[in-house]
Amino acid sequence: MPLVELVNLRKEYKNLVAVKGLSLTLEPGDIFGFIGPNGAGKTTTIKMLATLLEPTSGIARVDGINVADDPDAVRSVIGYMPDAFGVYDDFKVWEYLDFFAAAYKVPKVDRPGLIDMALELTTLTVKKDAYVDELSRGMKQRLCLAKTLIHDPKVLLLDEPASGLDPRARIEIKELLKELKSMGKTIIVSSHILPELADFCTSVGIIERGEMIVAGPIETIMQQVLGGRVLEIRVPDIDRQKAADLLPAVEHVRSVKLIGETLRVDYNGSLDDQSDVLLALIHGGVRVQSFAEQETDLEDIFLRVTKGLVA
Amino acid sequence: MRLSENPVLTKELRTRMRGTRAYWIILAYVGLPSLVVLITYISYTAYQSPSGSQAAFQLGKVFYSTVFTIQALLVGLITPALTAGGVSLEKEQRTYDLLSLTKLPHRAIIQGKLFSATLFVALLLTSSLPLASLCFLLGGIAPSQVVAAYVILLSCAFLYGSVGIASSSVAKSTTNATSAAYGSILLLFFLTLPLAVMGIGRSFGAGSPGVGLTALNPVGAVNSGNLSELYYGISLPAWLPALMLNCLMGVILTVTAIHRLEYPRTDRSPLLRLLCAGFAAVAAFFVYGFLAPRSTAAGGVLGRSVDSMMAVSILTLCGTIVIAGIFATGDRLTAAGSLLRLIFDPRRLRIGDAASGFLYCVLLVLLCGAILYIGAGTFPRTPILKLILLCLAFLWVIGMMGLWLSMAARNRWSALATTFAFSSVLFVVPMLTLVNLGNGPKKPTTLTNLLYLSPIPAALELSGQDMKEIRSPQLAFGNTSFLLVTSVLYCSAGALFLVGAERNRRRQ
Repeated sequence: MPLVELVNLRKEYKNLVAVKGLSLTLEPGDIFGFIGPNGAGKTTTIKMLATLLEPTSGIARVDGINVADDPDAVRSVIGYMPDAFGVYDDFKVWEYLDFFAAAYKVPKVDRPGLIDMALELTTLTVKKDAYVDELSRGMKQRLCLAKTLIHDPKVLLLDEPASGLDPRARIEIKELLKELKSMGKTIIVSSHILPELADFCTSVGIIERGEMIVAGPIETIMQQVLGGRVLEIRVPDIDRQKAADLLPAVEHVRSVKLIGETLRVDYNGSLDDQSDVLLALIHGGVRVQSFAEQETDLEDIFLRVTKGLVA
Repeated sequence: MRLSENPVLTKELRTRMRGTRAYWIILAYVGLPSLVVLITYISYTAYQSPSGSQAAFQLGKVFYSTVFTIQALLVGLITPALTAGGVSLEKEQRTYDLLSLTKLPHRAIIQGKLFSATLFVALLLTSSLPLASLCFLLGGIAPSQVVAAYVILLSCAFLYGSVGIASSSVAKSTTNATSAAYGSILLLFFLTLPLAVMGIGRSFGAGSPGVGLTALNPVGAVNSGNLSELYYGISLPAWLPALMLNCLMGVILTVTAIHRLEYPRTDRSPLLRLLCAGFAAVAAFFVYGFLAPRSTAAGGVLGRSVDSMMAVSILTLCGTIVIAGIFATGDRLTAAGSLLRLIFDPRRLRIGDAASGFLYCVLLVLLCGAILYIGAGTFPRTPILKLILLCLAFLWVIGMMGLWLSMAARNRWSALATTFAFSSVLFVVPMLTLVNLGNGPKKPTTLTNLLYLSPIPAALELSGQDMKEIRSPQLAFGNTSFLLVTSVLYCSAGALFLVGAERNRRRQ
């Protein structure tokens, strides 16, 4: 049974259709990256899953429970972290977690242990007795994540968890999400900062104006959208022109672009045939400094599939 | 969930006492009455020549009155501030979503906020005990009087807190919620102030006539701790009706606040209707119980028999209009069957829609009417029956209009506002005729009959049959004929609204 299932989910406001017939299925352990420009419908979809908004039509199920039928039951299996959230400033860190643990009806005897675990996971143990308003923004973000985990939910709904953070804090959040992935949590994470998601998502969905344009594992989407992979080749300055002349003649090479000091080759052949490109360069007398397949470039996919209608 | 396990209550209590703010409030709360008591003492000793126990008793009474009047004002000032941000501030600080997704029922959130505020006010009241004990030192005040003052102040705190939390659950911002809460409390305060003034006069033996609901005003309440009233021949503390009404009103507002926040919503219509009926019954019980028997006694407590019946009539009618507007509007009807059958089906009374609201209001009017009829003593009962008939006719037109607007208007609020506006016009316009006639020649004209278009002057006309010397001339054709004419007019208008509602419903 899928853990999260959306079937033709739709949300309408007075003069606006925020989500148009969204469908999605996630199995336990999946990490789904929700990508889209601002106002695309990511937050609305997540809020419907979190039972904060009622769908206009369609079905949203979490752990087999329809969110419209039994929101209370859904709430106990999800952990929701909104994009903009507040904290109780006059609380200490442990009090904040204890408050939410009590609100989730975690037995009193279990709370201290769970709080320590959540703090350890989010590397906030040293701040246990600090007041929440003394924490940095990144720490508050991690505290909110700790709060989200306090009742051990099966599904995590994280709406822009790293927005507004400095690079270090963003890396820390990313590491934390990887840790959660290794714990077997099913996560739906939205972001408009694409490299954030590429590292750990098992699948992504690109949404624009409330419609899911493309969804699936990143590799499959790459194949679908880009029709192949991108090879990055570095050669000395004097050989660059020669390489640029040689490469288009190689089989399966569709285009060659010079970006900075790197040649970017759009290649749609198989992985086995990929070495032919290198072979052709060496036979042509080009000294190759590096030859690598480009890391998954979600930005490229995103730019290709979206039309920039909402921003 | 038990109240002691409520994390919102724990959080609110813990954070409220954190830092120095709470201690400054306590200092101000005790400091202000202390200062006023000191000034009172200085001025008292400067102008009076105190000697003997009687003077000490007198001073004790003055101290009591000063301390508790200031406390009553401070409770009215502090409590709404503690609760008006209860929900709206959570929304503004973006913590509400996180809280509402926990397993905590919305009931617990509201209860936690409200009880923490009430408990904090209880702490403030406790902190004023040493000041109140000065009264015992001087004498003249019974311990039961002080206990009564504290109990009534606590009930006021609960009511004001619930006004704040209800505003907070409805308003979009804390500023709006605070304005609405203070506005409502000020309105309540000034509306009941005349009762308080009369009560204070009576409490100190000035001989002014007293009224049973003095304690509805907090200032009147603290000064009526030593009063008792006769209700249906039974002597009860004068503050008891106000205590019951405050608590009932507080519970109604709290339930409304919970209902407003909940998603998915629990149908609380039966509970709310029961509470409203309870409120109306308690109010009617005490008002009629106090006023009606006195109305017949020549030279009774109120002196003028018509005054009491006027008050009773106006109260009944205004109550009818308010409840009719609220209960007879609602979301569009989805139930099958003809509208007329839906309206009069008693099995649907437990459903909270607009159609069943009319029958509920009818029952409420009949309940109040029955209490009025029984409590009227030897007052002629024919005018009461006429009054109930007029109420029902008026209820019919307002109810059907509300129902029609529920089908035709875009949302419930516009339906409710239009219904209120319509009923205000029906009330006020013929009232102007009354005022003009009062100033004009005192002889019957056909214009006088317009009085019967408004239920208030009509009720006055019915209840005060010997009012010629103080008011307008008598009706040209006698009140019974015009009561019937008005009732038929209202019923016809109501029927037209019903037809309109049915048509709108079919179109949808």
